[in-house]
Amino acid sequence: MWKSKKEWKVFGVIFLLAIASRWIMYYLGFQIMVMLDQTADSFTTFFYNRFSNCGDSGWYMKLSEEWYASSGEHVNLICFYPLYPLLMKIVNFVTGNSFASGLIISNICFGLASYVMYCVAKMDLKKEQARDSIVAFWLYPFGVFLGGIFTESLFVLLVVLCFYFIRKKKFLLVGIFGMLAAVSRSQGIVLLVPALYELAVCCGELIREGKKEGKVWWKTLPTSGIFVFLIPCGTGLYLLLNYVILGDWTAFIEYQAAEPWYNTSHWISSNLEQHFNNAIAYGGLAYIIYWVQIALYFLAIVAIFYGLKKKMRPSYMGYAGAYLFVSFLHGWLISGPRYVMGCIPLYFIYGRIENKYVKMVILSIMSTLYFYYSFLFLQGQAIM
Amino acid sequence: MAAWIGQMGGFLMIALIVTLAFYFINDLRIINNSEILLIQGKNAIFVAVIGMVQLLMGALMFNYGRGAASALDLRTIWNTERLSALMSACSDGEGILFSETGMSPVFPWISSFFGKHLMEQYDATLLYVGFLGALFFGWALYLYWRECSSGKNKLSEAFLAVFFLPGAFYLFLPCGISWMLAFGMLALYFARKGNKITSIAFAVLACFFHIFGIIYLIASLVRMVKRELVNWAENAILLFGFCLCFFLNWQYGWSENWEMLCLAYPVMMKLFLWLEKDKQGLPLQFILPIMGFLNGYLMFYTITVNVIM
Repeated sequence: MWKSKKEWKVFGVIFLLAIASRWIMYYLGFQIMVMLDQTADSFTTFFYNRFSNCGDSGWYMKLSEEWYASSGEHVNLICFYPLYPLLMKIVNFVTGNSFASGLIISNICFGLASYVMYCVAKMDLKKEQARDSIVAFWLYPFGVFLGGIFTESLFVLLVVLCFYFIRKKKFLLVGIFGMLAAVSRSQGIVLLVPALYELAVCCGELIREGKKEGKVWWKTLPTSGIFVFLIPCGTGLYLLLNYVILGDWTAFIEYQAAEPWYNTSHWISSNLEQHFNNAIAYGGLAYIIYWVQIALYFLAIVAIFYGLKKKMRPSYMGYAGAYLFVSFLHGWLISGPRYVMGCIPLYFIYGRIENKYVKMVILSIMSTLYFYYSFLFLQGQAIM
Repeated sequence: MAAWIGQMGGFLMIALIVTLAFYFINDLRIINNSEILLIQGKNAIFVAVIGMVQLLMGALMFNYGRGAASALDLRTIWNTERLSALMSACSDGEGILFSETGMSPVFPWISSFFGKHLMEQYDATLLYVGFLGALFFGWALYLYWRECSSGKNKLSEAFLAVFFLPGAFYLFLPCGISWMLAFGMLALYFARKGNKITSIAFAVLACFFHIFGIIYLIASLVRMVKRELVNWAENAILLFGFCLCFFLNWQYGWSENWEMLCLAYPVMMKLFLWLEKDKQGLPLQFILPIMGFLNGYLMFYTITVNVIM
C-alpha cells in the first residue's frame, strides 16, 4: 500500500481530501446556521456543543473517562463495544481531553480508511472506478458521522483492512483486524463471511493443485487459515467484558432491550413493517429515519444483485448481504442509515457502474442529500 | 401495505442468501461444469416463482371459496391437520408424536430454532424453511437426473413438470417432505457416483426428516452392494418402496395422502422421461397440462373442502 513515493503521494491527497470533505461541510453548515440566526456561537463552541451531545458521542466520551460501570445509572453503557472508547482512553494520555481524542481517532481512521478502500477497490476495478468508489463513500448522505465521535470511521478502516488482507491471503492479519472490528461493533463478526468464503475458495484451489501433484488433500491446506477464527473471538471478548463487568456473558441483551434503545432482534420482515408503521405515525421522523431505512434496505439489496450480475467479487457481496442482514435484525432501529454506511461493497458497486450519466445522477442525488442530512444533523435534528 | 413491504424485504433477503450460496458453490468448483450451475440457477428461480404462484393461487382459492385471509396466512388457508400440528409444534413447543405423523422432530426443531432465536415469527420461519426445502429438492433432483440421463432427455421440461405434479403444492408448504426428498436425491446421486459413505450419510439425513426416507437408505444400500444396478432396477426399488410407504400410510394415517404423492415424483418423472425418449407414450407437452390441472384441483379441494386427504 505504501511501497513507492507515488503511492505515498496518492495517500496524502486522499487522506487530506477525505478530512477536508468533512470539515468543509461542518463549516459550511455552521455558516448557514449563522446566516439563519440559528447560532451565535463561534465555530469551535458550536462544534463542541453539537458533537459532544449528539447520539452516542457523549456516551463514548463518558466511557473513555470512566470506563464501564458495574452498577448505577450508567450500567447500561455495556451496550457499547469497547474498542473505540479504549482507543480514546489511550489517546487521552496525550490529549487529556476525550472530545479531542475522539475527533483525532475518527478523522485519522477516516483518512486511512479512504486510502485503504481505494487500494482495495483498485484490485478489482479500474483506477477511475476506484476513485469514484471513494467519492461515493465521502458523499454518502449520512457521512456526517465519519468525522465525529462515533465508531463508524474506525469500523470502516478495520473492515477495509480486513478486505485488503483477505485478498492478499494473509489470514493472520485478517484474523487480527477482523477481531478488532468485532470488538468495535456488533456487525464486525460479519467479516467471518468474506474471510471464510475466500479461505474456502483458496483451499479448493490448493487441493486441486495438490491433487495434480499427488499430494494428500489436508497437506495442501494453508495452516494460517485457522486465524480467520480470531474474528468471532472479537465478539467473544465483548461477551467476556460483559461477564467481567456484570457477571453475565449476555448482560448487554437486557440493557439493549430497555430504555432508551428498546433494541431486540426481530426478523427483517417485522422490522420493516414496524418502520413503515412508524413512518406513518411519526411524520416528522419519517424522512430522516423510517422511510430512509426502508429505501436504503431495498436499494442495497438491489445493488447487491446488480453487483453479482456485474461479476463483482462474491465474497464482498456476501459481506454486504450478511452486514445488511445483521443490521436490519435490530428491532426498533433508528440508526439504519448510519449502519448502512458500513456496507463497504456498495461503494464498489457504484464504482462499477459503467454508464457515466447514471453515475452522475446518483452522485448528484447523494451529494445533495449529504448536504441536507448533514445540515439537519448540525441543527440538532434526530439524525442518529 | 406495511406487512407486504416487510414480507417482500424478508423474501428478498432469503433470495439473496440462496443466490450467494449458488455463487459460493460455483467458486468452490465442486461442480466442474459451470453450465450446470447456470441451469441450476435458472431452475432455482423457476422453482421459487412456481412456489409463489402456487401459494398465491391457494390464497385466491381460499378467498374465493371460504373467507378472507392474506396469502402468507398458511395456518388459515392450508389448515390441514398435519400442518396445524407442525406449526403448533414449532411455536408452542408441543412435541410431534412420531406414531401419529411419521415425521421426525428434526424439521420442527430446525424451524423452532430459527423461529425462536432469529425471527420470533414461527409461521414465517416455517414458510421460509419449507420453501428452501423445495429449492434444495429442485437442485438435488436435477443433479440426480443429470447423472441418470444419457444427455438426450428433455431434462428441463421434465424438471418443470415435477413442480406441477398432483400434490406438488405440498413441496412448498412447511413440511419435512421436500427436505427428505432432497437428501434422498443426493443419496442416490452419490450412490451412482460410487461415493458410498456420502450416499449413506445423505440417506440417513433423509430418514431424519421423515420415516419414509428409509426408501432412499435401502436404495443406497442396494446400489452399494450391487454397483452395476441398471436404471429400471433402481426405479423398481423406489416404486416398490413408494407402494409400501403408501400402504403403511393408509394403515397408520401418518401423512396426508397428497403429500405422499410427492414421494413418487422422482420415479414418476423418470418414467415420463423414458416414455418421451422411446416415443412410447404421450409427450410431456400433453402430460404437463393434465398434471397441472390435477394439482390445481387437489389444491382447490384441500382448501375449500378442507378434508384431510
